[in-house]
Amino acid sequence: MIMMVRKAGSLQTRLFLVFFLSLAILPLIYDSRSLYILCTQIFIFAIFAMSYDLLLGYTGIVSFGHGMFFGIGAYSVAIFMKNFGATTGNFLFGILVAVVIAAIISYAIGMLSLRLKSHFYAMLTLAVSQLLFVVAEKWRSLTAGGDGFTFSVPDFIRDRFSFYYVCLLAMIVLFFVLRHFVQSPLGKVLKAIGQNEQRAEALGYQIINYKVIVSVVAGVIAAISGGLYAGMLRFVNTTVFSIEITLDALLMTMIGGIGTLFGSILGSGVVEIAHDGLTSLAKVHPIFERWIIFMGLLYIVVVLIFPSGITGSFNNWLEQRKKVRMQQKEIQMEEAGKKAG
Amino acid sequence: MSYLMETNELSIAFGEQTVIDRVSLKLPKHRFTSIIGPNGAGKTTLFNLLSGQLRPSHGTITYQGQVITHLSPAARTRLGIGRSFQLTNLFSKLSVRENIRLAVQAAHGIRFQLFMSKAEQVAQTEEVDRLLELVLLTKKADVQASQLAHGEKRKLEIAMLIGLKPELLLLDEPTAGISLEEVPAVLQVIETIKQDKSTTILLIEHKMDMVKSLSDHMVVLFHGELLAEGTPQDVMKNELVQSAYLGGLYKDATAAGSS
Ligand SMILES: Nc1ncnc2c1ncn2[C@@H]1O[C@H](COP(=O)(O)OP(=O)(O)OP(=O)(O)O)[C@@H](O)[C@H]1O
Ligand SMILES: [Mg+2]
Repeated sequence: MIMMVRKAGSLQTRLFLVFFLSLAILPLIYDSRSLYILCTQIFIFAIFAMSYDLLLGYTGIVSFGHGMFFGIGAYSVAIFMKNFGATTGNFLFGILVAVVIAAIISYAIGMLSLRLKSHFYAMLTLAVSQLLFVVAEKWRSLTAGGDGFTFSVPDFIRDRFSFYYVCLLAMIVLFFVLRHFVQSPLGKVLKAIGQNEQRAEALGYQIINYKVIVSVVAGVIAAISGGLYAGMLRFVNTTVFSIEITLDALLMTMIGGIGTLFGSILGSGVVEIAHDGLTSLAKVHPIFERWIIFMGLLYIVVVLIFPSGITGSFNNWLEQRKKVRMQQKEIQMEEAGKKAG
Repeated sequence: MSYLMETNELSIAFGEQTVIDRVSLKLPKHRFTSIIGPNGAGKTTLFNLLSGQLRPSHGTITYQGQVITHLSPAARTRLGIGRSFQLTNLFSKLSVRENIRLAVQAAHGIRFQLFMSKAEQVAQTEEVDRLLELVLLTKKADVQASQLAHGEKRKLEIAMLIGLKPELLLLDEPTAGISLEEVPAVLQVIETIKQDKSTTILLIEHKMDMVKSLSDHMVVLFHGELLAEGTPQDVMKNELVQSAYLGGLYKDATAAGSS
């Protein structure tokens, strides 16, 4: 039995590797700037969606303001690039500062609200993210308010081809790191808490500690994705703090399948490609500019037809197949037994 | 005789209704104590107080000489108090194996680790396999907990509890709602734990017959009050108990017999 599990594990890992490898080959085959940009954006949002999945999919924590960490990452990188010059060092330092700020804020929010009923965390994250939005609007000397500002970036970021690989690598590394995280002893407790908090506590696990840990990890990862996003756009304004960013993450994890991490990557692909397609249709009819409406419709379809998302539905199908095979085997064995008898 | 846990004038009220009324209990170490009482007597509520799910409105709980009234359920578990739930309470979307493994992991004190040594992994797997065998669930190891039959869920619950290696085991009607054929298997498991002699067991039951032979000590709870306690023989002879509790039961029994 253990052998079988291990085998399935490595098969899964191999599938992931094949998938990532094809992404690595893609730009060598298609030389298209717009494709690079689209894919880079998919990778960045995949990282963001994975961080949201840690909260929602694994631990069952709902956040309405997760986008604030994305925004912190974006502003931190942008401000460093603008004020201290477009060097790789400043880019990395901007991300590092964002990570520290995100860790502090997520820790504080977690400690304040995760002890209480679950909607307190949702509401507090929403409130703090709105507060940051206002700060970004008002602190014009630093952020240039709602208009935002452009800045220059090092060559490896400006070059679409090389930045494609930077983001792909970041996504792959973070995917495997987070996968290890959720499969570790700590991660298993997170999953247990997501399932049945009271039971986990009765086993002696102190729920609040786990929730704060996952809140900090998710905040930090989201900040990294925000930093990459600013690098890609070479521009930042207050939209990075808008509620839509959080809704995107929600949509991506739900469509891809919550609690799977890989689903977040697929979800990001579906949402970004659909977004891209609908935006180009806007020339045909202005209704397509309201792409969020279509996303809403897509979301409803997903919830009705594939409630466990793409990855979840696929896993269910695998389970089902395994079950049928086991039953067949049992029947065969029974028949063989009858013959022998 | 030394006592593992004591309660002093423990009380709780929900609004107007006093559900546990000044209960002072002493649980002798390494003994099997059962609490009996009719439906609604307050047995589960008393358990919730002992394991920390509820806070008393009055009174204290002492465990190994330490006052634990203010401690969280998780902290009490780590002191060695493990409980089962009357209404099945599992990680329903995880496999049977994973449910038990989480209990074993907790007992091994592995809480925040990001890495687990091979030796630890092997140790956990072996222990989980042993527990699966003990409760006769080996064949169901990889089934989702939600897919189990009711009796199997009860057995899984017991396996998780044993996996926790508590010093004090609180069992809330472990045979409730399971089919008659399955009852002996569950009682057998409890008997096995009892023979270990290193655990103190407190078991709730509303049918006295079920636990008469298992119990060293018996406590009768009635309308939230401690009505009587002593050896099973003493308790059965007690007139108060006979009129208040057994009277009803005997009526049930004759009614069942005549139908
Ligand atoms: N959280 C609560 N709020 C209000 N009343 C409660 C609560 N919990 C229990 N009660 C009441 O306390 C009384 C005792 O309930 P309890 O579950 O402890 O009984 P029990 O002895 O375990 O019964 P059973 O044999 O049916 O399990 C009942 O009348 C119940 O309605
Ligand atoms: Mg009860």
